[in-house]
Amino acid sequence: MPERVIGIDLGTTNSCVAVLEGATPTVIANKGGYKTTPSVVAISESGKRLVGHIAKRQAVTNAENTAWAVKRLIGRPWTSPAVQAVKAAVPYPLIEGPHGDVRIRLRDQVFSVPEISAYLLQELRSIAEEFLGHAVSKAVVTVPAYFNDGQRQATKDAGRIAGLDVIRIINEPTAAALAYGFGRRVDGKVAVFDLGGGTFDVSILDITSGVFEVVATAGDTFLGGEDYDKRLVDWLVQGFAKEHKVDLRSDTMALQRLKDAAEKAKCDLSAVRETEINLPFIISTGRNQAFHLHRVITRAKLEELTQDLTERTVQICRMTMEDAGIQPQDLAEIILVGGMTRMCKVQEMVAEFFGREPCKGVHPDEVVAMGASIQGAALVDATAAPDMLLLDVTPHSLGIMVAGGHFHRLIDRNTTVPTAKSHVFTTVRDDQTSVKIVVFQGESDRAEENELLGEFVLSGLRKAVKGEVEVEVTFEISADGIVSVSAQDMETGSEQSITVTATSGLTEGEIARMANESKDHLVAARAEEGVEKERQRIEKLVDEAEALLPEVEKILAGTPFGQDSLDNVRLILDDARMAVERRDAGALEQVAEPLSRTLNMFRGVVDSGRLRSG
Amino acid sequence: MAKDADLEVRQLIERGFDHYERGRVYDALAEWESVLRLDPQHMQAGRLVDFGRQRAREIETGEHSEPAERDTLESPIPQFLAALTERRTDPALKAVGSTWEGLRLSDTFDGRETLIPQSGESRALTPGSRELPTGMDLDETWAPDTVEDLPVDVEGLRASAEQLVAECQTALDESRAGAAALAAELVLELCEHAPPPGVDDIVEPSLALFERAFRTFIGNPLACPLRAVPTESLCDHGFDERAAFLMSRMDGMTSLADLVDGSGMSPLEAVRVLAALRRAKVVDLLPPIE
Repeated sequence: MPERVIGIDLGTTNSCVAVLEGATPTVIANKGGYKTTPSVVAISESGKRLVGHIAKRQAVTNAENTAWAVKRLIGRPWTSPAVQAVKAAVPYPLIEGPHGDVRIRLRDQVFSVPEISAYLLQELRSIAEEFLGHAVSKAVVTVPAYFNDGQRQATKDAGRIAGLDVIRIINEPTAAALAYGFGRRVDGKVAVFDLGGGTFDVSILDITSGVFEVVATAGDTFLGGEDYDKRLVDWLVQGFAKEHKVDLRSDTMALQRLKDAAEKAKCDLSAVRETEINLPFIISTGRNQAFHLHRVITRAKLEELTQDLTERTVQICRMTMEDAGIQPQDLAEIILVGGMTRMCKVQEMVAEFFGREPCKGVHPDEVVAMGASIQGAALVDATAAPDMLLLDVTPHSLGIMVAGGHFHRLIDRNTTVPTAKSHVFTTVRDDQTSVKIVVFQGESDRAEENELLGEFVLSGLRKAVKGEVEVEVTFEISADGIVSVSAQDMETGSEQSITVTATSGLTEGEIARMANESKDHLVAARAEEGVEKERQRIEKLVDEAEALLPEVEKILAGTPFGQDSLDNVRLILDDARMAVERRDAGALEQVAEPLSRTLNMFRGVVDSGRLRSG
Repeated sequence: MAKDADLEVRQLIERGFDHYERGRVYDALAEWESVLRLDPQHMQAGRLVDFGRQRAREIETGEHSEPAERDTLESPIPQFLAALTERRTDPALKAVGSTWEGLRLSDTFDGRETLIPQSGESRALTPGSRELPTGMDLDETWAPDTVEDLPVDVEGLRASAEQLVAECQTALDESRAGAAALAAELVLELCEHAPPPGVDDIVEPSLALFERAFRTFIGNPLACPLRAVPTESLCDHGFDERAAFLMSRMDGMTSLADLVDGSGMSPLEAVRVLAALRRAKVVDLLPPIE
């Protein structure tokens, strides 16, 4: 049987893991019963690493040590405008890494962005392993369609650090469409409208006879459910200040409760027209006067507070459709992805813009992970999803800088990958013996305004007048979207190439070190879990033995197994109780055997005593 | 499950909490059982139903009875603090206070003290006339029930702090978790109230000990607490909003360990508040999630 491959939707706000069970993509719930896990990592004051729900629930009270929405940072260089925008928006400190990359400081430790993502992946992997009952080493991970090469590579690095072989990176809208189209006949153009917790993406896919091709994609990395929550929190804070002259923002615990309640209320309003927000004892004055927050919010009010946010999604859709040269009537289906698409107003505006009701047959939080699991299964088992072929496109144009700082496109955006393209360039100076190939991606005609992917030098060119020596530059993009660039002196055949890795990412050594640390942490965490389980087991035995002790004492009174034996077992019970309270692994191990013997003896004594008396 | 059903489930669970907090165990159970009818696999509802049924059995067999008055005044420390409240309204005490050098009543005092002082807030110690009983052996029933139980001079106060630290250690060694936590709470209270030069130098080296005492008292870190009184009533019980914050997260699914880790407070502060909540019997515990 081929190895099981898990599908992971590594989201900006929430992540999800799924596996193909037979012919059914199955989303796996975590220990708390939730099918999505918040993409939040924190370090607690005691130095403990927190991942998922627990990290999210302390994100406000421990804001400086809680990393969230790191997906906006992954694979980006420190100098990127997006990084600077994130830096201004998040409370956790970002610092420049040794390779011009981004690092995150949580308490006294500094983490790379892929490391933080790796902790999330590791958590999802553990959830899957617990469900499947065996180790998992392979995964398909989804990324936004607009992710560039560096971001994709950094996501793969995160997988390696988490001990996962990321066998394929696929685009999120592709995964959504794949899950949507799995097991049913879907042909034609499909729009995937993905409004998640922190980002918005819209993609147009062409699905023909099981072939999925992304034809256009666009989005906004700073638009999502959290912006909606924030509007609601602001409204609550302002109302409370007006009523009580107290600023709830001054208290992190109050703010955390507000944020949680706002998110809950927003979700409720997708199903009901009004809901109550009730936060008893949210704050007190120094004179022990408790304030309670109680407000009723209507769906209409929420829509009014967030009108501009929803309108922005429609504007982006309009732009994308124009870009792709597609009319709404050309679309066969609109697939809604992301929790925010449950909001009635969002659905209304989508329906109005596209001129048709969006499909509601897929679970917006789970569909991407489900698609990834289908792709994962197909990659290791051709029978899992026969006739399925994914064709993604490159979201950005790729090219090199040429004389004058201009950007020469070799591969246009929205070109289907895998692809390869070559172009012949000539020298621009007399006796030029080397050329520097500087690779960019983006849409600007000015190279420097695009994203630098990498550079290398092809040397040893023959001295000649300018324009005489020809160099052929070839771009290749793999199915994962990873870019390779080579340059060849057409006269000598001499060649230089690079696989464009994250320009500001991690070295091989760093990845290996982080992977080891991550593994050590997992081993330690599991050992701790083992001690806790043993502690609980011993505690149960002690409880049972202590409950039986009075009866045993009564039965043994005056028998040859008198006071000395009872003193001994009391000592054993005392030691066991102390080991339980101290959570001492060694002591627990020491008491386990004598405690079991004692309990067996107690049970025997009690049984025989009852038999005699009964 | 569809969104409407998700919402219905959540509302049923919350209505159950509301009943339970107000002592209506059977009504709570009915709400939680309704969830299981909608979604038989619902983990939280399953746990709550098991717990509710067990509690109902205990009530029927007389093994469990609701405290006549669920008030922190049942616990020794608020009893002591309540005594302070009473004394402060006594003009005679004011006279004593005014003559007692170095100590005075808090200017902001309004007739009630919190069980857990506001962090960073320094309050004056109310004067008393005698030291804590020498050689006392704290147990769960011991209560410094009057202001006279507090030391009256700095040396006495320091001696008492040392004694409480020692008692905390001894009680912990002897598996008397309640007494250990009580000693820890008292010495921290002393530290927060002590006039200069204070007892910080005695208390600070023992903070890890106090944390252990509180942790041991609150019990299995994987057990999941459940609110046993309405959060809005906490202020009446002498708690502050930190307790309300922790209470707001108690849902029968979040373990004590996760509450501490996810509180944003220091571990000592969090376990201290949780210990106070446990001592005041305003929370119940569900077994760990298997």
